[in-house]
Amino acid sequence: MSSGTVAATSGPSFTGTAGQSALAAQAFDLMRRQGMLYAADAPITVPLDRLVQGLTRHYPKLSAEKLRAQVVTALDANPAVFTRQETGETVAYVTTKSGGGAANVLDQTRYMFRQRLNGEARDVTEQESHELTEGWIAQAQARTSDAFTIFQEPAAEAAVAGRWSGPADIAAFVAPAHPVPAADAMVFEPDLNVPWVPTEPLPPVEAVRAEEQLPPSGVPDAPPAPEMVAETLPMPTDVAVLDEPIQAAEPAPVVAPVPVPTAPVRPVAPPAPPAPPRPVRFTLPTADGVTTVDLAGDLDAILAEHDAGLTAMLGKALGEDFRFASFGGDWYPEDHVERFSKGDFRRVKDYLIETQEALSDRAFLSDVLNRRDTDPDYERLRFSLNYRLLREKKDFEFVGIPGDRLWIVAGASPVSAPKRKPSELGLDFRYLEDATAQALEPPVPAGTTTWDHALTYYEYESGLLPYSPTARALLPPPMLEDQRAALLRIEVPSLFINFPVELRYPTGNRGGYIVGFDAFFGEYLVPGATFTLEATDQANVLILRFERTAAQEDSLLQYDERRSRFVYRPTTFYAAVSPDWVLREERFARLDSLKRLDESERKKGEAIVSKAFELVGAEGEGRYMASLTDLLPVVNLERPFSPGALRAILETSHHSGFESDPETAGAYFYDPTKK
Amino acid sequence: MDEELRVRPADLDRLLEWMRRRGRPQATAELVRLWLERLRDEAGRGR
Repeated sequence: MSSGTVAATSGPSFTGTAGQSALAAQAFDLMRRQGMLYAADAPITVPLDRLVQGLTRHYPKLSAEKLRAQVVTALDANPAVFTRQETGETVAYVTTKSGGGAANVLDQTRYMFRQRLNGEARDVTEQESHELTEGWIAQAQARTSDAFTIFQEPAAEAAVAGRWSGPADIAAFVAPAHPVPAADAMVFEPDLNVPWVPTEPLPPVEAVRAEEQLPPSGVPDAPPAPEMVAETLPMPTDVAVLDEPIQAAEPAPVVAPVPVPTAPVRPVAPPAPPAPPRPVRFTLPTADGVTTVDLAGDLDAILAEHDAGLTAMLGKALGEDFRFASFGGDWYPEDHVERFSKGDFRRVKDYLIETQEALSDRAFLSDVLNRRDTDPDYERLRFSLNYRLLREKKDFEFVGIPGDRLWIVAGASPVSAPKRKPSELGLDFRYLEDATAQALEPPVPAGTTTWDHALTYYEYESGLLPYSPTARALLPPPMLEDQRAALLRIEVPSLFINFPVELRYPTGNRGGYIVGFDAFFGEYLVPGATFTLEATDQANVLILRFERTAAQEDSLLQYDERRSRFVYRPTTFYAAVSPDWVLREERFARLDSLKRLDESERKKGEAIVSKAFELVGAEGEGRYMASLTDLLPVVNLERPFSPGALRAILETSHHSGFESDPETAGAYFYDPTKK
Repeated sequence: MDEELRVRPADLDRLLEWMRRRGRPQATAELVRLWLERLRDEAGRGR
């Protein structure tokens, strides 16, 4: 029997006699199939009995015992390929797909996904994960190449590069025994704030050694990486977009078990230092004329200066493109917006009806749709739900703000409805949208966070407050273009109570107001009471503070529904009041038994002011004289008037009967004969 | 003569694709920043 060497096709060589080599090759083939999905050097262990069973079909004339003996002989003759393992009475053989025995098996844990990427990997927080992802995506966007390079194992890269000839190459491309640190694996730092520095493109690189790509700070003693690996490393042709060279200081400890002959390589010059930024200029039309924007400069500064204009420009373009869905300043591709069934909407509505209060989108997602905020898809679903609910106008109404997206059942506000219709109230407050009146209002200091207010009779009776310039400074603006109202919460620390109010936004020439104070005003305050509203960290929560006093008794004006007249009644109250605004009998005695103006008269501002002059003015020479301070609480019996609104009638009205007193500031005349 | 800054259809296409990849809605301010960054990169690459 002659000895020889048999090499399996693209596999290891076997020794022994021709028969033994052939048998060993067949056994190896059988074992390799057994571990078809194993890694190249992962151990494939097959019991001897199973090997014999599998080889029986190739040797039908041999008995099982004889075949078993021959298999043992053949495998034992190839200890480099097969390793015998005996466990009790069970005999098994171990090999690997690359043709090595158990001795060649390396640490198996390195095949864990975590080990293949980064052996020092640790759990990342949600924030870190978010920042990392943001960085990758931003860098992908920032790269000038359309190609999106993904870090690959050498074997996979070789396959992609067309240098894969068969399974025998597996060993040449196995992953390095030492994991590459994550910092090296990532080509770009995920920093969104890195300014772009234009520079000349790098010369084309054909074959470069890994160490030649590294900056001079690389470890000089590091062994040169094989050329094959160097070729497949991601080529940072866009490296110049970064301020600093890529931090690849430590060469990747790539270890190729089978050395591959290296081709002669052409050294390349180190990358040129980044060129100074060159201007990237655009003209931008603004309210003050055309300005020039240089995008090569600091983007933050550009955004700070032109944020409103740029946001409006892009928002307009996005809004005109049907592919973008929008909700409250957020955008998302329309075709990726989730759809909800009628059943989903019905359950959301039932939930709102059941709780009888405004509920947020988050409450719907968690309590109705069973979605947790840890769901990776949560923000998309949240946007989708808001976007879809907004289109169900018959059933739902948005009353939220950016930080708290609240919904109610359409037409079912949890805030008690005022006596007057919303449209009438809006008209009563139309002076808030009147430029002439607003120009006469005292200016609101920038950064105002408190609102000192004296309660007028009109506000007390209707349970509301005006959406005045001060209120605008405190309260959130409408989040949506056609948003009718926002639900707010008023907290009164001194009473340990809180209650909802509804901010009705202005529409057209109708002014805005905040409704829902009726119960609070009726129980704790009187007309003329003073209080302060303070903004809080939550834009839709306000703190109301008022001075609680010992019991005070006075004869204050009230409206007697039964007699349909204003009457003075002894009243006990416990809140501080403004002497200018409180309607005491001793100050405004002529208001007793006053009838209300009829609706047609009430709509005329001049008629209300004329009546007020007759009630509180000092008569002389056929005309009345009154101060603004005296007129204001009286005109507010019928309709809301701010100082600016009253001054607008007195000073700028076409009504010729009003005239300011040139000698006394804040005093006015009314001449009834000049009507 | 500097070009006037305006939103081109290609800009919207890119923003749309970017948002699809992000998998979550984006605020206008974020999109403005991304738009300007892309403009800057494009202008730099064109030289």
